[in-house]
Amino acid sequence: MTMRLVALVWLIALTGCGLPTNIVILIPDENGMVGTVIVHEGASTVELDRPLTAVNAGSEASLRNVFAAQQPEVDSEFAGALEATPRPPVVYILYFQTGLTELDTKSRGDFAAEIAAAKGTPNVDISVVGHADATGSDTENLALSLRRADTVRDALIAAGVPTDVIEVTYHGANNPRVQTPLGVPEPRNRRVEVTIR
Amino acid sequence: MRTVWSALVVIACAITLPARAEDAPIGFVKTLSGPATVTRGATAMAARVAMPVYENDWLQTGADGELGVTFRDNTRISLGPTSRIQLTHFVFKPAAMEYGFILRLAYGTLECISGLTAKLAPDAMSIETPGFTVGARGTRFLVRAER
Repeated sequence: MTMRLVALVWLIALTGCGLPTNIVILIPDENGMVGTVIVHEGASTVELDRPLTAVNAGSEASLRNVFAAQQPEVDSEFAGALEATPRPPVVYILYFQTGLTELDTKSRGDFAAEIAAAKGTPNVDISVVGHADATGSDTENLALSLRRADTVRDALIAAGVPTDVIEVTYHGANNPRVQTPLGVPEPRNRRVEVTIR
Repeated sequence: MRTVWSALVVIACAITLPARAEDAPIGFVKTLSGPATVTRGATAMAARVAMPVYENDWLQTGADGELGVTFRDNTRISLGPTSRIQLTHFVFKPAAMEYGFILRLAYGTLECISGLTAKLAPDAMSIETPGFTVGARGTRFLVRAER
């Protein structure tokens, strides 16, 4: 009897009676990385942290039903959403000379590549975020990080990128890539991060 | 006199335009296929690629519609056919370390690839549906909610 039941379950699984109507499925991202999602319903909670794990979210009781979704079913039942995935944003980090809005020599090539990418991306929108290292006062660093960001924005505009798709923000020394004591120069923190979406 | 008229025209435009000039867009429509709308307040607009979207907007796809949006924190979402979602809450201020991202999927299919919000503030992003809620620690997942 038990064997028959197992066989029946397998048969249903193989013939693909479809995924549950209410469902959450964790899938690998474009780099093959798998994160974590937590599904809540009523007082119950379930965590998914393996590729293609899925949960029937139809009711609080069904949250116990965590299973491995089959790729062909996922591909077919989520075909529309999967086709419409926007392209991944691309981040460029440009480094600057101490206290200046002049690019580090090594960043000049990246700057050219970034401008080409911005121009070559259809329907682009761009974030330009300026940063400074922990030398100088907060006021100076805020102003400097804005000037660095503006330098990059102006170059993008000069290259023909429309002004209204560029968003400029600046953080002074508050968001370092590398933590340093106050007053310590750090080339990796004197930067502008450009995200091309 | 001409200046006054120009000023009035500018004011009139500012009042009638559904986009709120004082708020920055939280994202842009990047992909589109078939019929889809963006509803802001009482105004429903046909979605188009490169259209900005704002907090509280509703996005809806028709029976063969698909729509994808990239947000300012690099989160990407895409909707399959016959889907409806509200961009309920979006705060992304890394300089102030303030983050919040709530999407409300009324029905349909959603793909989400989380961005900086889920990375920097693992409890700040969730997708609410009529029956259940998904806490998005990251990164890529699919949700379907019953109509």
